Amino acid sequence: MQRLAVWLLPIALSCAALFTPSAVQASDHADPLHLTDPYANITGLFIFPKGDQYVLVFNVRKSLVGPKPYPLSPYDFVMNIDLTTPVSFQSDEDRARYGGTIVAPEKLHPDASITVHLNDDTTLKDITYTGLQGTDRIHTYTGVRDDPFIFPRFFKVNVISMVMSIPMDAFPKGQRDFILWGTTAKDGTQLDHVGRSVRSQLPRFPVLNTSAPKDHVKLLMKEKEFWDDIANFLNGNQEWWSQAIAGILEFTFQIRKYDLAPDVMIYTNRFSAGFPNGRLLTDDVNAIVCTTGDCLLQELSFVEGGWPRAVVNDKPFLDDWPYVAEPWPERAPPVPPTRSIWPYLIGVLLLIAIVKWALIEIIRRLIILLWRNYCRWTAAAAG
Amino acid sequence: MLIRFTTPAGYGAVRRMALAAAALLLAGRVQAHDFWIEPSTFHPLPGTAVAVGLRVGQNFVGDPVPRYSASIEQFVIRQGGSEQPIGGSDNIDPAGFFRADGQSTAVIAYRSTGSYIELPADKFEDYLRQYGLERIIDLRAGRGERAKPGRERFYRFAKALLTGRQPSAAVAKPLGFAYEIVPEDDPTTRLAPFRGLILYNGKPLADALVVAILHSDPSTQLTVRSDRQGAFSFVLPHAGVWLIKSVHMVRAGFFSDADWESLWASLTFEAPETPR
Repeated sequence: MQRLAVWLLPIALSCAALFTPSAVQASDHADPLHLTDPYANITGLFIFPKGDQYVLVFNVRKSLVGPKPYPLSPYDFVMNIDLTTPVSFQSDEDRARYGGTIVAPEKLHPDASITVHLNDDTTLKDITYTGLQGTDRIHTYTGVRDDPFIFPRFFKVNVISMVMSIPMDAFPKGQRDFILWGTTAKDGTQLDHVGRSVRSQLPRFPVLNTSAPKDHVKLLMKEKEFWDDIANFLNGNQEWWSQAIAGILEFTFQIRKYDLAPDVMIYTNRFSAGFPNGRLLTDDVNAIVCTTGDCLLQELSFVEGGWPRAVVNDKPFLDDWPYVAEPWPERAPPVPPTRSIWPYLIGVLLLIAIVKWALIEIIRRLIILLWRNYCRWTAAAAG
Repeated sequence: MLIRFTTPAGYGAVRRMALAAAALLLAGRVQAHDFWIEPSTFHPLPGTAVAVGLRVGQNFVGDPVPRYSASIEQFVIRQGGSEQPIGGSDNIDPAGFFRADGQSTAVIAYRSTGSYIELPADKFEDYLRQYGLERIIDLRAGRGERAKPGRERFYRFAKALLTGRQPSAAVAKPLGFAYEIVPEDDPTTRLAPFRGLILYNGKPLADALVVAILHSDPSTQLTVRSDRQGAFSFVLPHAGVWLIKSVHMVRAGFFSDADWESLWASLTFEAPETPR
């Protein structure tokens, strides 16, 4: 029985994941999107002040090691900045987790945006600004750089980096609070989203990736209801394996009580910069988010890395423009798997069908046999 | 009848700690606890997520009650003319979450399934006295049961009002609870005398003890008994979050596992400093 349940657990969870429509698209480093559309896969959003500038970094395409060209032309890379929706800093919990509280999530909207199109050699094709002043003084760098994410799996690999240095006076005078998020889109369809780091890539958040931040609370609430109902049902059954599945759901798909906030990055110059108040290139975000309840990637960094756990990037950042670290040398990308799971799945389905057919056939023959015996017995009794 | 207990202002946290300690001591003595709803905010903005905490305790000082679906008969939010269930995860506090529309005053309603409790005779009578249920002591005496333990099944009927941009007439409509405190009008609009009705099975109940407690100063307690029409009123002396509560007890049915059934009604809301 226990062995059966051990098999049932992953099957049930896989089914749950499959039948959650949004689960096929997720964001940041640890998501399936990089398998289906890797150049749309956002790997990081950073904002921090530098002198009289704000530096904005937007990275895509994780685990990049192969040579150019890359198929970048079809993608829109967009950084959005909301300058007017109120942010509160009263809640210590929200400040520690999200950098602040978005007081009216449904009002989130971009007051300013930067849309970048890249050539396939990663050079800048064009850049469009809305809602910013003096855009001719904005410096932009695009190219292949080291992945600044402090996580063993992404050491010694590159990303495609877009770095902007924006004069502070490009924003309204006295602007203190900034709400940021980034998206990638192709043919007008949003494929990925990034807000506060290490959020949308968690297994319970795929719904965030194809929606606007103003809709996030509504969507998260729906997700929460869905998974809570399943978990409550499973928890309410006496079978140990039912409760075990509920336990697994609790740390994988179930939306937590502190999740009901839009996925945006908050930066304010009221406090010193550093995650979750914006993000510096040097921030060890996995360790920081673990202190407020999300430890999945922190655990994996121990699982996949050595001892002691790396707390700095694997390449030094530059003191000067463009700040992101030099790229790792190009090399041949790892050979992708060639084996397919379909023969195994079809085999299992066939086996189930054969067993089912055999059972039905046995029952059918048994009924015929019994019926014939009954007819014979009634005929003998009558005669 | 209106009795008001007050203490000089200014002792704040120390007084609350003392009250909490007293509540715990008292709880040990009479084993009876109020039950109320404490949302993460009493004035949510549109589109925000509201966490709904359930609390059990005394003098408006309570412990969190995690969600336990099996003990919930009804847990809903009425806002914007519609009613929706409040979801949540079992064994977790806060017990529920919903998305506020914030347009008009919303009503959170919680109704529990029954729970059984048995108390020694002396503790049972202490608790009956504390909650103004001397009538039950007399009934027990009349039945020759005063020496018997109190075997009781209790039901909880809690409501909370969340301030919206506009008042709501729905606040003054009964939800159909077996025991219910129904405000005469929306108390979240201004600091005015609180008028309400006590309904038992949808009908006005006379002589029910009703208590009002101020959250920021639980020593501020007002008590009153409902009149023949089930009506009662309080002059709330301060703005702030208030708990209005009442307990009713009836003889349990023939097939019940208990001798008595108690019904615990509560209503929490925030009376504003300035009218809206």
